[in-house]
Amino acid sequence: MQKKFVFFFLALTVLAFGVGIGRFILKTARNSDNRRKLVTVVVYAPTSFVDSYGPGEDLKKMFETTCDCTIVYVDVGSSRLAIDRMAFDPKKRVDVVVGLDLLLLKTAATRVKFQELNDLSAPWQDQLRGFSFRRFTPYDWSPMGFVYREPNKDLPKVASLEAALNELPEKSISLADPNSSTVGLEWLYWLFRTSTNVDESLRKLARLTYIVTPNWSASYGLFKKHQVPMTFSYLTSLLYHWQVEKDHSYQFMQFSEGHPVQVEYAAVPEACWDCAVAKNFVQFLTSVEAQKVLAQKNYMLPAVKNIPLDSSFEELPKVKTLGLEKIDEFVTQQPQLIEVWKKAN
Amino acid sequence: MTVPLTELFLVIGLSAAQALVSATIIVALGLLAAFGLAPIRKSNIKKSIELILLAPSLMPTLLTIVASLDLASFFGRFPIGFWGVVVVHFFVNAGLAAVSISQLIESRLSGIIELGTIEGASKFQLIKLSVRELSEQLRNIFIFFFILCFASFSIPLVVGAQTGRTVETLIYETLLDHNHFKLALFYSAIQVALIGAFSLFRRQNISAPSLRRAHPRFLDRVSLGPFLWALISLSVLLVVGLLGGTAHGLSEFGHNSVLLDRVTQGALGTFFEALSVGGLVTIISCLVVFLTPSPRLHQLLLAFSVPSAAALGFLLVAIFDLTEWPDFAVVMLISVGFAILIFSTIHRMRLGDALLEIQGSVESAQIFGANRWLRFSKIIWPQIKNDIAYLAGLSALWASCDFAFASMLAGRDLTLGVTAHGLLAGYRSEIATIVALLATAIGVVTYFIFRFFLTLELKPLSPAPQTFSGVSSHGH
Repeated sequence: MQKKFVFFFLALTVLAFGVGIGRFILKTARNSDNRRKLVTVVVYAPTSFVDSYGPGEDLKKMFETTCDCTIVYVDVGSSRLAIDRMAFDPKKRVDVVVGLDLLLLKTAATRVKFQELNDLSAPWQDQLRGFSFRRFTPYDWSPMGFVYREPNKDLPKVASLEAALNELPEKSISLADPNSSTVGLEWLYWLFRTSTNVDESLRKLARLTYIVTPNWSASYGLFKKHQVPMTFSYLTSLLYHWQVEKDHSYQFMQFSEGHPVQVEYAAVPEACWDCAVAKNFVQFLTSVEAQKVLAQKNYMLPAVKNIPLDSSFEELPKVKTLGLEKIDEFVTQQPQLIEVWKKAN
Repeated sequence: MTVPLTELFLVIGLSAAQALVSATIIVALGLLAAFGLAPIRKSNIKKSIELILLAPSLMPTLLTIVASLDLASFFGRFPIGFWGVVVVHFFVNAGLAAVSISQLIESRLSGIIELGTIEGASKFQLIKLSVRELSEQLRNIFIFFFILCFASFSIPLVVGAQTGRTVETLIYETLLDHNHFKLALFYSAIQVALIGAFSLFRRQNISAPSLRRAHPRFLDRVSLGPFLWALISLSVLLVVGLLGGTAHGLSEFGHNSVLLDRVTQGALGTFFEALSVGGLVTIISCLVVFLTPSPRLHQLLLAFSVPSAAALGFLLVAIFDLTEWPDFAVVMLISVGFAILIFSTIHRMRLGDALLEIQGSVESAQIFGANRWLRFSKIIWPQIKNDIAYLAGLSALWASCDFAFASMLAGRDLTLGVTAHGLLAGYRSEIATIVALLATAIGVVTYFIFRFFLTLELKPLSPAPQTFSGVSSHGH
């Protein structure tokens, strides 16, 4: 009797899922046909852009109403992997790539050919003056630094990066690996840009480091799980905790030297198929509606001025940011710096 | 292509040392807990305990790592690096070792424990005798865990730092940092060769298990309950750690239609993937079984190892333009890749030994003139279907929880693993945990489907001949 019941239950489960899978196959086959019928824009995007909470889905819907086209996102994991994939097989179809980091632009331009974009006369944010290029359009940004939780009696108040490296407690921070993560490159650039003796600063940072993770999400996850009292992240990370969790204990350490900024770019590869629509999509990313979605769903600051946003954006501390100085030098010296850092660990 | 040999040798040394320490601890403590598990009499309680013990090895690795870090932190700061990798390997695999060894104790120690008990041997003497009796199988289990830890990827990537690196993380770093695909393939080839070499240490001529299982009353004589309870507590704490904070995540489901839509679609994709992987593993296993006895094939499969998940994923993405493929075709490709990746583990884990155990009867049938089909249908399949059902179910379960390999290929949210990975990449780790738990639940359903349907007795339509009631298959 018991066996019959189990058999009946499993058969029912298989049947239910079978019907579901049948619909899944039919639906996806139909979707695929639709993709071929219309003008299609294939967009290489990082995971955070296309996940269920990311801005990708809303932007797709908004843009598709303005053209007889379909946006197809390909989640490539990270901008670094996007460049690798495009360089590995340049003939593979890619119309737009989003999520390119400022510190990767030189590598991207060396390894992949990109088209010149439509002339944009967007009113860029003051901090991004000089950050837009003919082949790369910025669409969001955020200063970066140490995020921590208040109150924490073990963390002394420090006003500069130099003081932080000397005075913060041992093994108190989680970092993303500069080998595999652009966020990792940002802290490396920060030390390179602001230190008089980078090797010494890297050794001091090694003292503070509790864990180095392959990506930002693992590093931030450990901080969220209270494994470390602070982490290297975005100033705008605070927005998630303030808006969604209603938790204002998350704060950002402001340093007098200034903070590096992560700027995310969109670009159109030379080998694009529907290049005109692709360029329009990139231009669309700087529109007021798109900027609003990007800021609110990506938890980043808009690249363009005068975007109406939630009041919590106004509450973010106004931090001093670093410009474009020494970026080329940093990109050239990056492998050596990583070696020094590895030895220091 | 310049090969940084110093780095390569250093990483091979670190991998081997870490795998040696990890496998030793896993097998030693798994063995002690197995002596607590084997004597449990009530089947339902035993199955539940087995499920609890297996839970850490079935959960998505990244979530288990976070839970392990939480748990380890109770005892102080988590030891990042070499020892961190060892600790997480132990947390994840000790339950699996305990369950596997417990099954061996039941199936192989019936006579020896009964005899020892009658002769008046002490508990310590009986355990010593049992370990000696199981030494061949324990050696193979040790090699299995050694290879698993040697080729480990996610765990050393997160908690390994410099001292806990493995060859697999070196391959990943090479692919990501320098994009030296040829160098990554070279490292993969070295890893395959090393795994092949380690496989040679496996014991090949294993004796067949006893026809009857050891009676729990006798197994009580070797019971080591406290070790089992320690391991159960560890598993429970890990799972509870994972569940922490998910209540907030559950409430989010109602507020995000995109998420709800993707989870529904992902659940179907996951079920499809799990069924496909389980089905493929069944087919490949049947093919291997059909060709038994074939010592060369057996040797080849023991030595066989897929280069690396990262390299295979990158290769498939490079070869195929998956953007234009229908979703179900992409899931099918993921399933094929995953089945290829997992089959060598499946073979080392159980199938290889199971085939060796029945080799004698197969050879006898061959001598009596039974053709290949008769041998397969009448001799091999009835004896091995339980093993294949278990392995197919387990593969399906692993496939449903996979996020790393599927994420490389999918490019969109096709399975729950990919959705969970996407959520982890943002701020929503609590929701990722729920999605991962849902994927696990689908995996468990698929596991039971394979266990149930592959072991069904197909009865003939004509009435069965009368038998004497009351005579069990144990038949004293």
